[in-house]
Amino acid sequence: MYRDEGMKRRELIGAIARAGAGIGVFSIIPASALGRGQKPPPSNRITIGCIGMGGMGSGNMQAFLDQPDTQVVAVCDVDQEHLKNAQNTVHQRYGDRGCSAYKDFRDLLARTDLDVLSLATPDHWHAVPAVMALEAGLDVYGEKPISHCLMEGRAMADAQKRYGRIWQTGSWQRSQSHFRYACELVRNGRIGKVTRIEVGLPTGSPCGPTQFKDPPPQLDYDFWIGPSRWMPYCDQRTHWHWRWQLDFGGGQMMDWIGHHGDIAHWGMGWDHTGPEEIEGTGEYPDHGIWDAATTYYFVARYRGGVEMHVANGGNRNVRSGTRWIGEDGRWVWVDRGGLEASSPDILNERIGPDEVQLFRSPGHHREFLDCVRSRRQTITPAETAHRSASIGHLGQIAMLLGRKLRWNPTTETFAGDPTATRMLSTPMRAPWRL
Amino acid sequence: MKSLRYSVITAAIAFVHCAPIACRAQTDPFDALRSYDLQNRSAIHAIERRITAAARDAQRLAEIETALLRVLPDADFAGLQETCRLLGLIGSQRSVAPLARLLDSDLRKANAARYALERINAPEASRALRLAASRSTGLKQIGAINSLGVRRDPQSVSLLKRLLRARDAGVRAAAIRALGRIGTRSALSVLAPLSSRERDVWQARIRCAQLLAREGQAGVAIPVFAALVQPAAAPAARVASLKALAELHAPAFAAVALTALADRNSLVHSGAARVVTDRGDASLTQRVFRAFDRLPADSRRVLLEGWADRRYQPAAELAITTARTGPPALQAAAVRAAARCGGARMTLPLAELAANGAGVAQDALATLSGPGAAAAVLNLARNPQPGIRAVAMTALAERPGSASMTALLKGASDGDHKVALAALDSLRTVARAADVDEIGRVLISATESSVRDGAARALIATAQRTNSRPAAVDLVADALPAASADSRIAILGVLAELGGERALRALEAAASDTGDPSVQRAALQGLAVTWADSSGIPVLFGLATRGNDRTARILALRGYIRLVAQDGGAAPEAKAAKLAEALRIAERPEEQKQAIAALRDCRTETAVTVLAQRLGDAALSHDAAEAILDLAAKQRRYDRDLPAVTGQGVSAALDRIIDTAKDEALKTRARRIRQQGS
Repeated sequence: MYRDEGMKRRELIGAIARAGAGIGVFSIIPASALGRGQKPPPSNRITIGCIGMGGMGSGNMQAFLDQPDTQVVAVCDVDQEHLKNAQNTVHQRYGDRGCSAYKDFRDLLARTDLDVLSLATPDHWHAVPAVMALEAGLDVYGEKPISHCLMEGRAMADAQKRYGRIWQTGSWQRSQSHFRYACELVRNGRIGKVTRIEVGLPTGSPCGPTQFKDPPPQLDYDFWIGPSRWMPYCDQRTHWHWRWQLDFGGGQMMDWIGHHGDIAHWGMGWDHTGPEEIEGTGEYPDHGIWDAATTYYFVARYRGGVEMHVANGGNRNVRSGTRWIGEDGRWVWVDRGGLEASSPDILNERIGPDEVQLFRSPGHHREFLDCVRSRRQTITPAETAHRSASIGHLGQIAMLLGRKLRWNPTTETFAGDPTATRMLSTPMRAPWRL
Repeated sequence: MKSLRYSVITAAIAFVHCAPIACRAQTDPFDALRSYDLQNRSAIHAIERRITAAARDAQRLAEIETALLRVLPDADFAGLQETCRLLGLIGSQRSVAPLARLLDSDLRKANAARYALERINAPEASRALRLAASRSTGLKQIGAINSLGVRRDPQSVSLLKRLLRARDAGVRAAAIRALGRIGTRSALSVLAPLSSRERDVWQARIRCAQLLAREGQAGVAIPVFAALVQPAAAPAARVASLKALAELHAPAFAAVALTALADRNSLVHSGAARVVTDRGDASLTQRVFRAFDRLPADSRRVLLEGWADRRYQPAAELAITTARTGPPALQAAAVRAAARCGGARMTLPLAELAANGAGVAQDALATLSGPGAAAAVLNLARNPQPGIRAVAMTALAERPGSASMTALLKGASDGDHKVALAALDSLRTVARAADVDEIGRVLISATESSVRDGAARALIATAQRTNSRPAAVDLVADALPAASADSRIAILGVLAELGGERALRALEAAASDTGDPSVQRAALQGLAVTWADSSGIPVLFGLATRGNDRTARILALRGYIRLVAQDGGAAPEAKAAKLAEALRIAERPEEQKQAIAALRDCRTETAVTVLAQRLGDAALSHDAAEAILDLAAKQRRYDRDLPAVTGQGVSAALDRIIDTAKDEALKTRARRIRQQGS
């Protein structure tokens, strides 16, 4: 593995040798691997490796552990505490010691017995392992937002198509029946022609002064920084806090655009396109290491003149969640808390077999596993997730540049704006590349 | 309060941190950038605002670039990194030389400069990166190579070719990947002699070939994919290449696809199956049909799913045959494929499968779409076979419309009770207010108990869902006197669920009528177990005190206590008084204990006094003491703090527990509460 200066570089060693360095012990054959109990035999089980064992990663791993036809065989994290906790969870669930633990995700991906990668790293660490996994022939369950910058999303979507793999994004609201019903109402014209969409997301916070210091011993901080540019360690840098720093995340806006923005797209059937114009403003804190926008409001205009207003909720009368508004004032609103409409009659509508029926997911993780077997595209493949995240990326660039941008969603290029174009991608620290 | 305080603090921080730059950035922001502390971005934001204001004005952007270049030589690392970032956004060829000089610095500075150079759209930047790639080593060299790949710099191909001989495996791998990203014919020719066993090599070849194909050079790309689809290649390479061959309509595709479908490797054969269905080649599909039964199960399942997604009509017959006679593991995919590919013409075969227990076929009928599908499913409702009609009734629940409703209402009176029951189950979820009469008539006239129960469930659900309870109650209450005993029992159950004054009177009358014990018991059961609001309390009290039958009195008393306990509108004092009455009339310890348990929720001194009267009763003393201790101490329930009940009566009750309780734990708890109270 290569290191930044101050750490000696050592030669890349063979994949198999690296795999052998894992903490896991293979000498004990797990009882579950013998096909006893409720689980299907190993030959019919989907084997899973998990990278990123923080909050979301542990939750996803738990969801996979709860499925009857899976076997979590490896976990990976640059934080030894997260890693050991995850490994212990798997061992306790299976009653054996068959789950290997890795600090270097390349060691995990070098295994030849994996079917699926569950990826829940910080945003800046999505693209590299995801593309490597797709190249290795793995199917991927990846967290939202899919990408840290727009072109990384394009790279992941292209890699998924290139290698014919299955991808599910953690935009799990698509697997909830009331979100699906809301989108079916919109798709089937129950509020007429949509003219405006409102997407309300949470408000961000700045942080106070911080002290830079040595990282804790259990954390390989250099690896955590990975492909991003170098930044010194402080307590407000890493776990969870990374979301509020543009070098590693995209603030509340990017955290949630993959949920409510994604639903907005789903309702409109815009899974393969994007806006044509974007403009807006954001408040980026001057002080503290958290530099993502705390308040924001941008408008994305789509072909046909439909406007999507994205704003932090409670700020400019944009309610949290997603609301589609039709030309005659009828509307449908949906959020995790429920579903509402301008008239109760709209919510009594039934969607017939010959109307647009969106996929009825048996559960977000279950649907992904079903698709791994059937090779059918999931409810949120990489292209879909990329288009949902693009709303946020484009809004971010427009707010940072403070001007209206014209975007071609087919070629994914800005018209006549070289500065904006340069902001579509982020250079990577070596040796990382896509 | 806590969240309000947090909001105020957050708002204060936000104000301090987000106040307009103009108020604080008094000094030249470019000077300030030289010593950036990573926490105060005022200067950076000021510069960014100048960039924003300059918009696309080349002259103003050039002035900003000049100012940034002046910062570069003597900025600390953080300032230099930010300066490089800004130059990466607006820098021109003028920035290249100063940035290139930094490529020879330490790794962090070199990285910062390279990030900027990677973004600058000038040939000088490529030249500087090529120089760095040829002269530097280790991570600096790899970084420069990677940047050349990102820039798709065609002039670096010869350099990269030389770097393939590098001792450093990381450098070699970077060069291979960069060639793949550059994607020119010359890059491809450099990759050609390398072994495709290396993952970096075959991935670079695939990427290179894809770029060439996208730029109209399919003739160059196809041989690359044709080579990588062969069995010697890595499985992932084979699937990617097969996919590319399909997309390019390569002549060799059909032959290699058939081979791949039967491959032993599951990644290959399942991947190939999806490619084949996505490709939709008619003649290839015919060959796949012929080979279908010999293919691995994974391949067959993926083929069926793929045809289903494409609604590929010719696959319908194969799919329904597989659903009937294939292995169970394929049945779900086969049924879905038959339904989606065959549409209306698969209605009867699917219904036959559903009638034989295939739930997936039932689901498929519910969502069957396309021309004629709605009529075909409706037609099943007239099928002579009852099993098929029952399937139709279930499917129609998911197919809204007046024709479906007519068929379901007719089905509810079907002579075959399974058909009628299926129709009533569907009506439970879809019937309208206007259908209450018809469902009620089925309930009143049904002779089969399962149908009667089904009609009762449908009527209750419809009346509740459509706010038509009064109409439903009137309908069945009117029918009550003339109905058979079995029907009366069912009707009384419906009345107990629907509630209301008339239902209550009907139930009270039936519960007092000793003419038919089974009917009387059903009425009592309805009141005691099902009735949901406090209007039943006086009726049940009357039945509990006046009846001749002890069992009936006990049942009524239990219902009385239940309704008193759950009466949210009553004051604790009133509830305690009613429960005291229950204690007084209860004939067995079981009901007395039920009343004591209910008194625990009456947080009033009266309740404690009532409970204290039972401390001397050996059968009840423990329960009574527990309840008193519960009331005399603070509690937390459902996120609410409940204050302790206090007063002289409570103190006296606690003292009595301390004096007389046989359980030491109860005494200890009572003492503790007394001490806390004093």
